[in-house]
Amino acid sequence: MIQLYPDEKLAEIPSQNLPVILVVTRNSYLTEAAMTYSLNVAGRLNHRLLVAYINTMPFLWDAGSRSRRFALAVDDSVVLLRKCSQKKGVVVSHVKESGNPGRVVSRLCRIMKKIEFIIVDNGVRVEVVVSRSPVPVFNVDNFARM
Amino acid sequence: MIDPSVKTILVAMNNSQENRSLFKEALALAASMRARVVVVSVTPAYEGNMDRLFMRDAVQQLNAPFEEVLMVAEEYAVALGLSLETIHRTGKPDEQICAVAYEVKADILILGCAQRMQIERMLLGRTMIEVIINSPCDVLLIPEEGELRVNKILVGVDGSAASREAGRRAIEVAKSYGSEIHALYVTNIPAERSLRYGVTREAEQQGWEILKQVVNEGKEQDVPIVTAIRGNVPEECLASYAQENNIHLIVVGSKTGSMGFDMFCGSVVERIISLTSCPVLVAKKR
Repeated sequence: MIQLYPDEKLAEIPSQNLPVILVVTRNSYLTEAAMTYSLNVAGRLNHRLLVAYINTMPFLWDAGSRSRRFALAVDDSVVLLRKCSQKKGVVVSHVKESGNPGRVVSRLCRIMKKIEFIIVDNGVRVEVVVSRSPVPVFNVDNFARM
Repeated sequence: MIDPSVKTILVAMNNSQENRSLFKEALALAASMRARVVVVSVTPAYEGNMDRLFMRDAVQQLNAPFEEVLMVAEEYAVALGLSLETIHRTGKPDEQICAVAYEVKADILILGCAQRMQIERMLLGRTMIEVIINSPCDVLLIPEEGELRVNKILVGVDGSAASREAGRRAIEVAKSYGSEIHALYVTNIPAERSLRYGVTREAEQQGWEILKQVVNEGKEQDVPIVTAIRGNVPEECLASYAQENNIHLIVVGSKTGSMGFDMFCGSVVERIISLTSCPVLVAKKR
């Protein structure tokens, strides 16, 4: 950005008002390709990241063992993501979700009006997300191969 | 100080499976209404003595899952940069929920509901129906893993004051969200009258008259209404019509029969909920 009056400080936009990039994963961790790509894009566009970790098998009958392990893995992934995001100066938040990815995406888009586009991590079927999403959806797998 | 122009959505939650995504649906609804969300969780009152079982902190242990539900809801809202108020109470759930609804001046009360058979409802309690009866505002019942959408609304009409209120509410929602309304009249003819000549035709004529009134009300608000008549048990007809036409929301009036009859046969709302998987809005008289 070209600043016409360098002595004047630019008014900082509160992070809550920044447009949002939604990253969807069902693996309880973000793959390196998805993390790098989403952080780079968010940094370049001055957007903030919202990562949705979706437990697609919340009703699996295992006395809650999978859900507990999923939650622990998400916490580890978030620590790593925060480390990387601090370096790039990107605001990151995350939510733990459960159920169908399409339904989760649809609900998040209804709750947050500022979602600009969605990045889908490996493992999530793009067509499921596209069918319920009102915003563009990108598959990180394709970018990784390019 | 509550701004009267801001609507209030009250969500009543416990720690059961069917309530897992209730506050999320409330947040989605609040985003479209620009409303504030209040989540209430009620620990059932316990006056026993757990000392004999060497349980010193029984009250704390009873409260823990309900407080955790509120904490999860708050964390979720914070992660999305939204605000959400939480209230924890102890006592009889239906009484406490209605008390909070009065306190926060709720405009809509959201409840989760499980698809239960009548025998289960009798044994496991009737909190939902007690809340519907005593609530000061409309009650939205969202079934397990249900999703709140309002593209297609089905309203059950029978000519009663309660059903007229339901019709008005459906029109209000349709006008706000540009939804399509289906009005259904069910000719519920008692068995002893069903064999008499011309009874069905009379009931259908009466039904068309009632539906015409609803259509006229819709025309005044520029909301087109699709009408239909079915002949069978009302709740079964509503549920099957909803399934056939891919309905997203069913609106009914809050007419309840005698409590004694309801206790053994269930109210219409309870029976609809047990048959359908789409959310049900119970319109209360304002």
